[in-house]
Amino acid sequence: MEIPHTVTARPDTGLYNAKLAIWLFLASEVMLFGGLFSAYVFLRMGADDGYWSHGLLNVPVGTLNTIILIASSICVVLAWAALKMRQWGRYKLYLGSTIALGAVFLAIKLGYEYPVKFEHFGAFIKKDKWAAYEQYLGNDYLAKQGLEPRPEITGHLHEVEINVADADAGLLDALIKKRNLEISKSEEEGKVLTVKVHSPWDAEALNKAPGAITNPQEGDPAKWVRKDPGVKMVAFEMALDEVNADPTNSKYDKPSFMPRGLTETVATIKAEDVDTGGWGNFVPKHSPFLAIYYAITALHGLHILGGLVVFTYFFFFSEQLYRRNPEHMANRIEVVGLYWHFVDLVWIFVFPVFYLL
Amino acid sequence: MSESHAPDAASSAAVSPEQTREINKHIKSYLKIGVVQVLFSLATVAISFGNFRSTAMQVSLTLLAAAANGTLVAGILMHLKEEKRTIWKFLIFTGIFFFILFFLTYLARTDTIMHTLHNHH
Repeated sequence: MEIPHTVTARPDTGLYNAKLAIWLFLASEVMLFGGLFSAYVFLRMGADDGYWSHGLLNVPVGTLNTIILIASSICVVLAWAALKMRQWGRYKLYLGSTIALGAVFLAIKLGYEYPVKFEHFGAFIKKDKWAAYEQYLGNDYLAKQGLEPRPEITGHLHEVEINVADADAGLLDALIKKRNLEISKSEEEGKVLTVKVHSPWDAEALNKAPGAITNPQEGDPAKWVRKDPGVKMVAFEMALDEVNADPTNSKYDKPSFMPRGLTETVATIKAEDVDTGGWGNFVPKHSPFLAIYYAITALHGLHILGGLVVFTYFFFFSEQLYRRNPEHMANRIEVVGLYWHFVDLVWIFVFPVFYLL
Repeated sequence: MSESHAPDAASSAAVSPEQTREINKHIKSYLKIGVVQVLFSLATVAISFGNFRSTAMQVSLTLLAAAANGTLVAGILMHLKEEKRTIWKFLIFTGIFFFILFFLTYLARTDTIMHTLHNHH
């Protein structure tokens, strides 16, 4: 059975079916991303002064990704034009370029931008303890300049001091061995340990280590009750980011285009001075900024992946349709192209909203 | 990958010289749009790092540059400029609902309806 209006326009709408469908789909996508951007506005307006991250993301990398996506968008429209002109070779070249550029975009996002964040550590200091960390926060200086305060100390986590008095010793040992961690200091008869960590994930794992069993006489393991928490964080030792190593330097008053590096200055932060749940690597739960950043960019990344899957299918399996009906093939590429341009359009707003403002 | 793979219907439904000229004209404009988009993106970055007296002005200009970039994508690459009225009708409705969505955020922030918030930031 022949499906009508795959190539020719319907008389009532003036559009072929797929085009009408893709625009309806894109309208629903506008609402999907609109909801998330609305959540962004809500979170940003609700954030206390200083608690919305500025300059956290790598602007040159974001700019590069923007240019890559623009180039891919141009390539897909050229692929469509090549089909319209019945230039099969050029179509394959442009479609292949679109796929390659989209893949590079995703590779940068997943292979570089996200992992760097996952390895970075930050601790939000309690407001009443800011004065004790003035040398790293520089809030007196910022107040004099009329700038927002700086509540977080960031950098690379080296060591954690933990109180293991209530921990299950066997399970804790197993965890330390499994993660290949090194105990650099043991105090108070082994109740307080200083552990060298490879990344903030190790600190997270240690923090979740199970407590000792309080009712070992109970035979059924399902009825065991464990001390909670098993491990208590005492302190974090970290190499500081530039901005925390020299917080009163005026060059850190504003975010910079080039990403700021790590210094060799080491600071020790007491866990009791940190906001509840306010320490850890830069994952979604770390702050509202990161939560909405990952939500929107990950959803956008999934859209890129979806587009790449469809493009790759057409790259390998479109010749038969092209031989039979080249205009139908051109329409298919036009429809996927519309989707791809929309994904590009979303990024054009994601980029300034998260990287620049 | 070569042009010599001249497929059957594709060759029989070859395009006329006028159509070719027309498409070539479009291709040139797509390439120009690509360059302009890159320039707009760089302008967006430059504005956001510029020294402005007013933050509101800086934010507005940055978003304006992004919006201009987005208009190029929607208008020319997505052919919205010459699209049928049906599509425009859909998009106008979508736009209305989109702004209602943001208005809900405004209502939530100002607590206009329930008056339950006591500690506004």
